[in-house]
Amino acid sequence: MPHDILTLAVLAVAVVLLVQAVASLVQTLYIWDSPDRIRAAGKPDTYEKPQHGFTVLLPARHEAEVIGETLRRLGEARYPRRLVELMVICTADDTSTIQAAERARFEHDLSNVTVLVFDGEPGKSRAMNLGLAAAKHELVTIFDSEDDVSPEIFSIVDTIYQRRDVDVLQCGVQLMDHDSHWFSAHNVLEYFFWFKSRMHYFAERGAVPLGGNTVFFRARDLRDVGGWDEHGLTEDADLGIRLSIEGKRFGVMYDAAHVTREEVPHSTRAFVKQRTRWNQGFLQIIRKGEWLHLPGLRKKILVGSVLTAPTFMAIVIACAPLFILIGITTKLPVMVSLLSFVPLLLAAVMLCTSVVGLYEFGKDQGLRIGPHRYLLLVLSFIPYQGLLMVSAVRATYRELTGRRGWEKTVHTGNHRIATPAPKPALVPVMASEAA
Amino acid sequence: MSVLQAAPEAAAPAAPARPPFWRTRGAEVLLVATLLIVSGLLHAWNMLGYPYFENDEATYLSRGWAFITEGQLDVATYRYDHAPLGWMAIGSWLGLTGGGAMFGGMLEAGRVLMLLVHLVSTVLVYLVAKRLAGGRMTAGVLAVLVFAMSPVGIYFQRRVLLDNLMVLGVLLALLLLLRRPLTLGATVASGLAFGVAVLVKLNAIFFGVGFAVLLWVGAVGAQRKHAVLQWFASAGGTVLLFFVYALLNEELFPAPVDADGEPAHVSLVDTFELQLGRGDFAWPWQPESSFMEAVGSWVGKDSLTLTLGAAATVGLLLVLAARRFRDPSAWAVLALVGGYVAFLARGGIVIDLYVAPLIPFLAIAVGLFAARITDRVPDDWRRPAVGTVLAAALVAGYVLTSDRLYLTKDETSNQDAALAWIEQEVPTDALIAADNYVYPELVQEESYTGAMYFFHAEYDPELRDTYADDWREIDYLVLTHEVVEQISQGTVPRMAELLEHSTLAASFMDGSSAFVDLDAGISTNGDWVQVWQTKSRNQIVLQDAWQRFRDDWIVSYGQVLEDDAVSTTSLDQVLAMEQALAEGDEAAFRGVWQWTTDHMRHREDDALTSWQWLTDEDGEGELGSSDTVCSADQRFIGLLLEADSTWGAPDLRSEAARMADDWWERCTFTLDGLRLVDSSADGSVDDQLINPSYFDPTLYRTFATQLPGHDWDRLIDDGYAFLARVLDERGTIPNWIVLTQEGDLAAVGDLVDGEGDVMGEDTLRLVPTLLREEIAGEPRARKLLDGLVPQVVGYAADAPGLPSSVALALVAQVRDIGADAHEIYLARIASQVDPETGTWDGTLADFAWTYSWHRFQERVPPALAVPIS
Repeated sequence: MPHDILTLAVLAVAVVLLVQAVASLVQTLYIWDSPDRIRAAGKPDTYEKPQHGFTVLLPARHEAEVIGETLRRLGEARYPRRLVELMVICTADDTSTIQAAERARFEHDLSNVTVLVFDGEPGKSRAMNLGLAAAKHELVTIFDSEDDVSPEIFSIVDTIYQRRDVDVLQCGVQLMDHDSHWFSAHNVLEYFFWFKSRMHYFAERGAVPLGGNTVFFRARDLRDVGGWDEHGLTEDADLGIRLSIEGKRFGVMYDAAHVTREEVPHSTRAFVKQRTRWNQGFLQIIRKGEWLHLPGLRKKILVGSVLTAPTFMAIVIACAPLFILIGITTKLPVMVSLLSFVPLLLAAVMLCTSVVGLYEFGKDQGLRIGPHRYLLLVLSFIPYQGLLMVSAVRATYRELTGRRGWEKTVHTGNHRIATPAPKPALVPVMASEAA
Repeated sequence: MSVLQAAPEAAAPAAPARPPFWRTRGAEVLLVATLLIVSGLLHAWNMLGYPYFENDEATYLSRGWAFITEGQLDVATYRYDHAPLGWMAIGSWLGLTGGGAMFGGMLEAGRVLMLLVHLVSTVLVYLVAKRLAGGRMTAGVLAVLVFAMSPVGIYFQRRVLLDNLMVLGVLLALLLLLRRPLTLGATVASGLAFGVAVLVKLNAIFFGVGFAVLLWVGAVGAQRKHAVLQWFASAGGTVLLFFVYALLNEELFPAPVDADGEPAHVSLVDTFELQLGRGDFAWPWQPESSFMEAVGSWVGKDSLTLTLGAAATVGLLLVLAARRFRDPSAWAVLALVGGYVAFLARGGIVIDLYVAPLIPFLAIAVGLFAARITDRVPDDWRRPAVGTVLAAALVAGYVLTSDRLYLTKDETSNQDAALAWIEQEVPTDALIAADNYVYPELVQEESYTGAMYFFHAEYDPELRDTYADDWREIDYLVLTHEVVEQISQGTVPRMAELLEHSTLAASFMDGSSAFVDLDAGISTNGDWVQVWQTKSRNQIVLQDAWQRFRDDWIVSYGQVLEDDAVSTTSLDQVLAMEQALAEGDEAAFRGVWQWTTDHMRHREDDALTSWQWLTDEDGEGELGSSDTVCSADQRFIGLLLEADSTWGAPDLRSEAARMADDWWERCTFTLDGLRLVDSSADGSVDDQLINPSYFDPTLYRTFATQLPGHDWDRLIDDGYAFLARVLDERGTIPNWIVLTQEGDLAAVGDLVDGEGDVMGEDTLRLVPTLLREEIAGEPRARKLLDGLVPQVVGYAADAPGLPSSVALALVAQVRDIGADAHEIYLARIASQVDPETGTWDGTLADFAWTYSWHRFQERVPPALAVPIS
């Protein structure tokens, strides 16, 4: 009965896709569900008197050219300097960076800058773990050196920690250059939906794969879970999951004016490599199996689905021609065909949601977005899915063949430590802006 | 520390005083419960007796049952006439309640479901009206009162209609969209509910404008665009599935047409085109438009609700103007009502039940308007007091204006009785074309295999195959208001033919308030049923033949005149009257007789008819001969008597009696001890010219009982004796013969045209007469036939033609002559039938012969009749 088996297979895939698409839409639109949620997701209207101290970890490697500027901007934060420790971390042999940091400290009169040096293998996670050990304040956060950080961020975070029962706070990170590449609008919207809406959904459910920067932790919590994983490719998501297992409470804040601004990868090639690395990182986390210790089935499913989404979607997209072939050559029961039509419909809804999202992103950021940008967004939808698929397939292939290191090209032509710019927030992949 | 808040709440008001009871939630629940009970009673009381079970109700029930038991969307081929969700729901209900088992029938089960639907809708109307009015109970209560008490509402809400389910979906969608603050979840749920409502009945789409308004005002700020998108996506996506379903079945686009011009399969586009094209376009303000007619009908049923609804709508417009168009609720209600009214007034067909979905929104308009008015009353005890007075006035209005037929009138007993009759009298394998109300019971509860919804019977190719696409094969037509309406609209030509060619088997019209005139295609109410039995094929041929005869050959008010002919004979006239009588056509019968009397009965000495009238090219006419033909007159007499028996016409009977006296006097004679029938009252002086075929013993037997003044029995006995002598002496019965004054038989020679002295066409006319006598057990007829039959067989071989064929076929039918009567009929008589008209072509003379064969079949016992197909 190959026909029956075929029918069952199509039915099963359709049902999974349906569930996936509905879940994805629910997460994507989570914040817009009610005006109350929209209001609660933003920054506080008033700030409390500063109370918490912050240690800002700035892992750097050959960053002599930008570290000074980074420190200067962080120094302009409207927050008592005594409560902010700016910690540049680099290897002892990186003398130019050390000198640049020292120079900035004097030139801009930054009494709160410290430089932490270490010997041995360079590595971002390692640097951060060392920084964590040396951190003197209660709250620890990470920025990347090219990040454009809001000067009010410490006030906002301090207020939230005072008013709400929060252990970990993820603040918004937003790619800004929606018109720089053919794929950038989709990439921008991934960040937009991820930090503005989906993160809230995860935080509400207590299972959050965190982003790579503008995350605030209690130093105590980080030490309890043993800091960052120094071997994974996506140590940020991994950390989020371990904190989730510990039952930490997550908060999310996305305010258009106070997001940490970043840029999309500088080429299609860079995008694919970046995405490959994230996807492979997810696979590593799955392999580690810690996520299986998340309390409750719902959290396991939630995190599991996020981690597997890129691979799953790659398989589905790769199989799409096969399904089209089946549809053309085989007479499936009409109800099965009808059901398998629904995910397609939801994909169209998702695309429309993206169009609305692009409009809102422009409005949020005060950018004028011309009509052709929307047209381009629609036209590039399917090619973008192809890009995601290629990345997912590469990631799977690399993981299966044991190539677990950084791709070499990442290091060349880029002076920053360990990661290519910009450091990703963890953005999962699906047939849309939101997996 | 406190939780994150956008802004601190305004200082909490001082603890309010305990509100009076009528302001508590408990009081509201009590009030709504009371309204529900009252509404439930109004709708439930007599709900199985009124209104009559309508065709569509059974359609949806039977489809629902087919869905739940067989997974089919229709009992026949699904034609995309409606989206199927409505009867899927109905089918689920039937499944849950064991088909008709729990409530004594599917129709009854359907009505119970509608009661539940009404109750849920009532709660929804209350909530929607209240929310639209900003929480004012007055709005909810008044809306519910209108919704529950509207007679036209009760009429249609009791019926198992898709509209009622659709309204439930639309109200639910509204309520969800009225959630404050509006969430995307509620928005999506609302869109899905609306999409489902559309898939229950597509015209829900016309409420869409109202939803657009509510969406715009309900969602705020950044949420709005997402809300609009998600609502339209969920509603539109749901509706789209219907079209995708059609596409997947390859039934979306029209199929190529086959040789007959019929598409190879059904298609959604075809059906939509058909539906959109229904009815003629007329501007809604034209009095003859379907819209104005429907409005007239609705006002007749329920003037109060429509007046109140219209007034409230206008009132809301004024409110809107007074508030500088800043009243989203008023906008929404106006858009809901306006959108649907625009649909009704689009210029196409408006069916009576289209009003059903409008009622709840008119009710909500009344509620909202009342709330807006009472908003001006101070918000203390006075406001509820005014609300109470308004509610009481509304109730009083309904009590005073309604005839409350819905509580008392019985419209379904006739339908039940007809069903019982069918189950008693009609075999389960009969082919029955019926108003669909019988379908669930006959087919789905009982075991009738051949019962068909008349519309399907007309249009469904598979069903048409079951009767070989020949309506004559259908055995019964269950005739109702709806069937009459469709026939008179010309949508079901086969059914029209069927009714035209059937006889009334049972009629159930006790206590019916309907005026029914089938000839005019009029029925005014559905509380009656008739069962019509299709005539036999032979009867159908005879009926069509008479139709053709009347249309082609009867001119003026009763003259039989063939095309291009000049002569009208008394035999032609009598043939017309014979058919008119057999077909029950009294008007034609009397017309022909009147014309005959006016033109052919001016003889000085008797009341008999002259045999010929001549008409010239200009239509001017004159008597061609004043002589009589005795066989014509005897047949006139017989027909006039029978007409009196059939229609009660004493004038005709006395005329017959007068003619019979003259006929006996002038058309019979006594010679050689025998009383015999003359050929004519005129002409013979000494020797008697006799046409043996004029002898009609069967007719004389009826005269013997009805016209006792003469010795008819002797005429029979002597006639037989004379024919026996002729056969004996001449070895045959010639066309004509002379009986001389001396009592000898003599040749006619030149006395008549043609061959008078041999066997011929006239002789053959005697054959059916003698055969009928033989069948009736007359030994003298048998003896005569013993001698005559071999000659008929021989004659048919020598002189093939219609007369000899008919005679041969009749003989073969009654006697064993080694030939098959049916085959002779098919080869030599039926071949004359024109398949287009169902009757035969040819001359009047041919007609008379063919007619003779078919009429003979009606006059012999059914077992002897030759079946035709």
